[in-house]
Amino acid sequence: MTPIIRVDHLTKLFHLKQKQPGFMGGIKSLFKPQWKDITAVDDIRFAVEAGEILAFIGPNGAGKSTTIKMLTGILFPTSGEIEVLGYNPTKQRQQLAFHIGSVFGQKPQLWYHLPSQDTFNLLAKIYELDEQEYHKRLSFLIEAFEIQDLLTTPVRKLSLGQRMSCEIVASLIHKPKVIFLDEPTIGLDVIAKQHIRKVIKYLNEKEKVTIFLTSHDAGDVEELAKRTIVINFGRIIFDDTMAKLKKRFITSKIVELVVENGTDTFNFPGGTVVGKTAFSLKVELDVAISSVERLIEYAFSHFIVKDINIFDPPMEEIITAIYQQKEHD
Amino acid sequence: MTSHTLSFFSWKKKRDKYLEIVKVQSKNTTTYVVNLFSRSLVILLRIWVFTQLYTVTYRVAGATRIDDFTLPMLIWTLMITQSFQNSTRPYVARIIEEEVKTGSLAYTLNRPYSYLLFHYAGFLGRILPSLLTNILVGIGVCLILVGPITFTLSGLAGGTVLLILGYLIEFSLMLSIGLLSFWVEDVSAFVWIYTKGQLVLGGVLLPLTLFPDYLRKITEMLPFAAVFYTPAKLMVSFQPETFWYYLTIQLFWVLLSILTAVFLYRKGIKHVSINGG
Repeated sequence: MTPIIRVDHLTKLFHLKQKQPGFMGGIKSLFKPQWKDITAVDDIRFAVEAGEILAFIGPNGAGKSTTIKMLTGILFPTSGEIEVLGYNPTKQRQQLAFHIGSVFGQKPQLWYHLPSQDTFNLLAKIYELDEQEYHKRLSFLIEAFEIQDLLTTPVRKLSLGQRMSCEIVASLIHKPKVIFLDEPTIGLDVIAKQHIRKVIKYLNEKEKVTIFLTSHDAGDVEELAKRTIVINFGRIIFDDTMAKLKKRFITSKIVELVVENGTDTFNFPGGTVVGKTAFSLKVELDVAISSVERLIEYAFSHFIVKDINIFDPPMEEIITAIYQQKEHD
Repeated sequence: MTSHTLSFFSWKKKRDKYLEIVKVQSKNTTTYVVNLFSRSLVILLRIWVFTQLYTVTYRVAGATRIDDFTLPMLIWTLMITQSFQNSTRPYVARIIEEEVKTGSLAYTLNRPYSYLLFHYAGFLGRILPSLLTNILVGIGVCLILVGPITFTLSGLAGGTVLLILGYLIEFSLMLSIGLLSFWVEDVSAFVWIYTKGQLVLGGVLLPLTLFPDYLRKITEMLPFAAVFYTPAKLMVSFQPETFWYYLTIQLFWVLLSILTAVFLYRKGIKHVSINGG
């Protein structure tokens, strides 16, 4: 299969002016400005197939948003090549814009004082949609996102969750083939998050829309993505399936033991008790020190075991572990 | 369908998107009608002050006409200039600066339209309702304070032509200032210099008619006067040769300001860094 996004040796450098604090610092920087080069994206390569849901994750300042902005053509790369749906985003931004959608969770695109319906109508004209095609599409999105009652309310009066649903609808109105989602669930409650994830999944499965997702929300990544790219300090440090991500970055296992004869005597190297009742134990096992098999052997030899459950640590912790890796790792 | 029919539909769709931007922006501007009218009340206050000030000036000079302008003609010219100038707020430069600061440029740049025409359509959508309310309030104030004056059809037509070009110069200059925010982020100093230049040398505060002859000739050639003063002056006192003279000056500034804006956009787009995660 030919990839629909192709990124080759992509680099983005920002040339930033440095300022000393205080009044004198300001004067000094007027006469003797100091500049610093920041490599936001450092020689990255990857490709995305049509219909994929890709999570592009990393800590703050890792280069995720910069990459998305270069993929959509609104930032010019310092070097390297990008191709999205056969277009060069830098040179063919307007042509590409007809086929892609983007949601920047922290930035509004809806007209603040007007009802969202006005923004949708405007976008239909901007994307040169046929009237009939537009109304059919809008009806589908209104139903999918359950925003029937919000269309005539001025955007400023919507809750964050309601506004976010409308923001996403605005990005989908022209049936994009690729959607770039930059923190789409930021600040939302659990129900709103679940709802948005459900619709994203639906669009991917039914309309074969390729999803390029960046999120700090482990739930988004775990529930939506099949493949994950981890970027840190501008470089890709991992690019594989979600299963392999867990395998590589999981340094501990959670083992739950239900026993009959009391839990006070538990003492196992690498095993930390993180939860305890009279007849059950929750142990976090450092797999670098010991293995799950040894822990089970130990449990059977010291306790009357009624039940054992083994879990991976929550995705949140895995992502934290990845982010905490130092540059030299 | 022939290729001509197809290209007509394609052109129509492109035109429609900019017209829709004008429409939505106008709707946005008129959301708060009270706010719109209260902004126009500034004209009332200023025209009252000007009337007091220039009544004394004419009395002290002992003249009924200065540079062929009677006091009512002078006040009407000031009112029209003020109405034109007041309708351009919020300035395009400020809007672009805000887009850069908040990072909403990520959306406004990422659409299938010309970024410059998008802002021009937005500019038209903002000025049309404001201009209407400003003129309505201004006419009322002038009628009460200095009474009516005679307008000619050629004056109104010629002045309107110059006004359309004047707004184009204003837009292009403010756009150019706004585009500087792709480099410096905060353009308030540039906006301040331009607007104060307009106040002093553009006939918004001081009618150029009252300037010494050599200074009036110089200032009439500057973009500050070409934007709003010369259209307003021509509406009040039309002379064909003056119309062609002002039109030539305006066309020069139209060309230069558009070229400057396009040049800055092409350079700036490669330089811009969009704030926020």
